[in-house]
Amino acid sequence: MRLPRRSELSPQQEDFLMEAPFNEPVLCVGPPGTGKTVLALYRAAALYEQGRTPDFVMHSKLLNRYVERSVIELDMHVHTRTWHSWVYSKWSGGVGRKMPESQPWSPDFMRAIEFLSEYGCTFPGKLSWTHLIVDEGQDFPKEFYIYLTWLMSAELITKAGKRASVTVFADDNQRMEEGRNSTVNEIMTFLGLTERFEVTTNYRNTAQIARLASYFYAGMSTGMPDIPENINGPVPRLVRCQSLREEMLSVVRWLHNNDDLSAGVIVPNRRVQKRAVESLKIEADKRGLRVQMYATGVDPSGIDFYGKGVITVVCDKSCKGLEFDGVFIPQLQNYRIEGADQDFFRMKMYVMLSRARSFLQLSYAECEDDPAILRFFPPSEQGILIWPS
Amino acid sequence: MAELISPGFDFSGSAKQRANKMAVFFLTNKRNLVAILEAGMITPSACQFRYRQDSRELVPGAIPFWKEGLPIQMLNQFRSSETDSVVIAFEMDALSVNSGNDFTIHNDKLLVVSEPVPLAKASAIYFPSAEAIEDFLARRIDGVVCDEASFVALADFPEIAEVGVPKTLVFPDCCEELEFIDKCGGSLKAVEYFSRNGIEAQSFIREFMEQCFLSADHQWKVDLEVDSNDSWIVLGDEDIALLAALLPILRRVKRDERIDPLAVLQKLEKALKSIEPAINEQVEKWITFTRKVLQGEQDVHPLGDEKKLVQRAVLLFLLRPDLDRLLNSMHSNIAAGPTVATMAAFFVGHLVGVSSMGNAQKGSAQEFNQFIDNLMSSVWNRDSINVALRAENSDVIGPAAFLEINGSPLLKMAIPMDQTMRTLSRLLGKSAIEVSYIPESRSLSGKVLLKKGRRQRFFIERIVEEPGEGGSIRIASVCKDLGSKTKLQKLTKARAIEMLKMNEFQQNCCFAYSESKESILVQTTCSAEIADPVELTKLVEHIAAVADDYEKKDPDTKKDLL
Repeated sequence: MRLPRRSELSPQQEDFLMEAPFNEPVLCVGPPGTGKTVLALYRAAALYEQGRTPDFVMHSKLLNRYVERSVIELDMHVHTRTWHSWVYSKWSGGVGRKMPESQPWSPDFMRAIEFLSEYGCTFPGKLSWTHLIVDEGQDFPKEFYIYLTWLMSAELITKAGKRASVTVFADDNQRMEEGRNSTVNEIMTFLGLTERFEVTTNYRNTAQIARLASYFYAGMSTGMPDIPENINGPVPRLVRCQSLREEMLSVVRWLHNNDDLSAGVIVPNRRVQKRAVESLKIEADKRGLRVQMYATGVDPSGIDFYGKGVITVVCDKSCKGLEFDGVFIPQLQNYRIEGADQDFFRMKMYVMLSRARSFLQLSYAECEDDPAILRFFPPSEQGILIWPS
Repeated sequence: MAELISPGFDFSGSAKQRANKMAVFFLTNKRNLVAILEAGMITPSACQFRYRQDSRELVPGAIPFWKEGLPIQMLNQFRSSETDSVVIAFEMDALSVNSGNDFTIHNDKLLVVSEPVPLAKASAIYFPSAEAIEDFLARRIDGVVCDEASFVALADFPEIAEVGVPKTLVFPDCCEELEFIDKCGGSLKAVEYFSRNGIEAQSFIREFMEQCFLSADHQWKVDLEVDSNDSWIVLGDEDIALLAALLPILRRVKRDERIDPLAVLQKLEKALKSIEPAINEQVEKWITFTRKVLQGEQDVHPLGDEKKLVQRAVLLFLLRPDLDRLLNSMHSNIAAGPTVATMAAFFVGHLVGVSSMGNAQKGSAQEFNQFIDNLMSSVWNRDSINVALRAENSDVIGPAAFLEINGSPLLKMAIPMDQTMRTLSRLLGKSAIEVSYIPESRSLSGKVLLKKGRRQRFFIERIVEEPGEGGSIRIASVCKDLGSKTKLQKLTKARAIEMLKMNEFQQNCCFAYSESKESILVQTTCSAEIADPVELTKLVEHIAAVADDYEKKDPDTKKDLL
């Protein structure tokens, strides 16, 4: 990872990087794929440059792995943690006793504030921080923000000479657990903010991929980023193949020609996943490329998500949160819609398609007639998907 | 108030000289400063990427400089903490270089320039406080190169009287010309970046730059200075057509745009057909192959430095339109050759332009600003373009060539090695014999390790001068230096006859006199197309051993040698 060049930033991203104050709470909101995590990393780099080593917290372990790796590549000494780890370690370091909990691994922030108001803390310096960057801010309970705001102004902290601040990145459309998360308005209220920065342009996909993905989008309109009209790439293609082997050969060929990039193969189920891996390995080995499998629940530490010349085969249910330079969605004939919720199918397609940064290919094989799901695809006249001739 | 004039200002000399050294000030803001540092120049507002309103509004888009202070309205802006104002200071005479003193407005308070002003000539950049400098530096974006030493915290400026400016001023649009210069600069910087990464393969640069100017909308009279070194690549008609088609396509790509390689290929095919409707079968095949490679329907073959270099470079560029990806391509499945990769880098530079490049490509602020200054001097407002290569051999930089446009040095390059010598150098390298290339004589020179640890120098030169490969070479080693007059006198007729006699006993070599080296040599000749590294190494070692043997013994005891 490297710092961005100006022409690679959208005007909104540039506004955020150039204008967001360093010593006041800041909120940046935007739909998925608008580059919030990347902005969070650049903000960390700017703070680090100023000598304010930030703490970087997020909800998911998968994102934490990405951030950890990027922090190393940017040569920063930034503490990256999942939020549980950050909250508990700060508390035990500052207070020296167990964090009050409403249930196991659910901190009771209101009781924590009561405790601190009454008894103070042993090492206020350890309880505080310089600048906290919160990614996936919508996934944290609103009491967390009350707690942060209380600490930032608490006499016991400010007396210790610490001036803490916080930058939050969030999206209303990506809240995970009802009741255990915060809306953007709640975050603004509890951080005492009247203004926020917004990023709305798609930063992950090319315009051509974003356009096809948006065809399937079935959520709230605010949940989808704007098409990045200036970021061009090949129009996604639908390919008819004879066999899974032929489908996999096209994956290997693409990665052979782009062996400094990554490829993701998103498959409908575990059975196809196994077959795809077997088929890929034969051709990939010949060209010095690597093949790996990933599924939710599998320990991600052994998976190289960011490696060059690596093909990751993943089931559709596990692809959320992942990104690849080239994405291949084979075996479309295995997707069934009869009886299934069409909106659910559309959103699944949206999530799968939007994993692709610059190249996207859908394919089907081993069937005489076109698979039924193709009737849900944009017709050739729209020009957003190239159909087989 | 802090000292306004930087210590470097000289107030000696005549009144006119002093006037030329007068400080002039341009008021802008932090956001525009980012663009100015990124481009290495202040441009009229219409040509600046993501322009934010500043003092240029007062003089419809041109660049206003106030003399020795700022009017009250500007001062208030600078003093206000909300405006993020910044002042860039120049010496008066620094502004006259490109404009030739032909300023739009020039009175005792104000100077208005309607052309770009290179930043290399700025004397300081003033911020209202040290905190503002610190904040600006922390937010630096890649490619925004600055010399922190030129940033000065200054609380205030002297107030000068307001100056009325006519609202009806109209300036010529120079954006197209600036964009062209930006793209050309990008190509040169990209090639230089490769050179800084140890890839010295720029032998195409003069021809490519010529095509750059010839393919521009602006009608220049382009003049290419040719020298006798046949190692510089000469383009064929097919290559020229390809460049003439591709470069304008790349120039039309906007700064914040990313290309679809397949769409570029399609445009390229169309442009080639507009140049020559019946494009030849080979080019047609190449386009089909490239399309299949881009779509992942066919494996790309290794793109080494052979056959159709320009076509290979275009394919490589379409596959990896990014400088760092191109650098990596040399060690990937593609195994790009250095020349193919550097040509592809030229295209990437043309695509992104110099101002959009990152710090790694731009180098230090001083280097970058000087480059922009030279680039502007070479092209801005010129009707004719002279592209030339000047060789230079200094103790500091060694043999090098400079690409000059209208006399401005823009790119330092290693002198390309003669093809035959490159092959021989590679063959000897396989036996761990290191040689260096001497461009003036187009020969190789090296040392070989003999038995008992002695080292003997040898050289390889062409005998028959033929372009490209072929002909014969001489492998030789000096065994007696006759460089001084006294030594030369020692080569008596008797000694010369003795040496000729010694030749009777030599196998595979002979003693000879070299007039140019004023030496007696041990030498052999062979075909320049020798391809066996073992055979070549044996020859070199044999020559060196015989020369060393002669050298270490007293030449008067010639019986030992006989």
